[in-house]
Amino acid sequence: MELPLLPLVLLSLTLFSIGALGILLIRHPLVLVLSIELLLNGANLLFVSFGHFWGNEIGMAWVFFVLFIAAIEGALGLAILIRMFRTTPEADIDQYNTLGAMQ
Amino acid sequence: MPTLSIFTLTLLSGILLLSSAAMLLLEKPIHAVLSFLVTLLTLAAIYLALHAEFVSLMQVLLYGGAIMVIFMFVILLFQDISHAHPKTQSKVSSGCIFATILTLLFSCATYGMSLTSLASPSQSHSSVFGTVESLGRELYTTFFIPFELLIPLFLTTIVGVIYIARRP
Repeated sequence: MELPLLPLVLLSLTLFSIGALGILLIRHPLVLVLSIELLLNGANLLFVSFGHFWGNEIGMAWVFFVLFIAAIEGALGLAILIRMFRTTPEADIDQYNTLGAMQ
Repeated sequence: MPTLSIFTLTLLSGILLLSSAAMLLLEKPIHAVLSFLVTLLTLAAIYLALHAEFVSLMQVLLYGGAIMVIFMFVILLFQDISHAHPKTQSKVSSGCIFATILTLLFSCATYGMSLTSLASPSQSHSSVFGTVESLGRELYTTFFIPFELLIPLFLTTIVGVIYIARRP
């Protein structure tokens, strides 16, 4: 039996919401970057579900691009975090409120 | 190729939601990263059941391998920061408001798309659907220019990351 589309869409929406909540609520910088990755994963799940549903591979090709952009985003975000940890060793994202701390 | 039954999907969704919620709730960042790894592997299993072999492979290799290693390196380099975890409860009310708004928006969007009327999945897939071969052909024909543009993007990223993370 094939699966209806709706549960998969709801699952990806829930993943996206959890990621957005993580960005707003959690103050640790590392968990912030993880939450952004969770947002991208929610979008990916939507792409793959619709691609499966329509029997179309274009959605999967886009997931491929999103995966690579996520890798780039993770590397850049963590490099910025390393820079910020060196100058301001705090585990609280609210402490990083000035760009001058990064020079 | 297995098809995704309701039971399997329920099980996988449960693991997915539990591990992603644990990512936000656990105290130490290392535990958060590990539960995020569980999330990624569960997603890879769902992709595999949705006939997306290549995406599932890439999910394990790129996310479960490369990105997780970068996170582990950062945790390793800054262990003293990794232990501290100032979680305040002050933002919880605004987070609840935001979550309600988000849920309302998403349910409106889902209702507007009238997904339930689409509920009969399509034709049976061909035997090469979602494999490395067919998706690779798609990437090298339809998506050739974006695919090639990824390469200078990666090069720029490498230079930028080295510049940002270097010792002043």
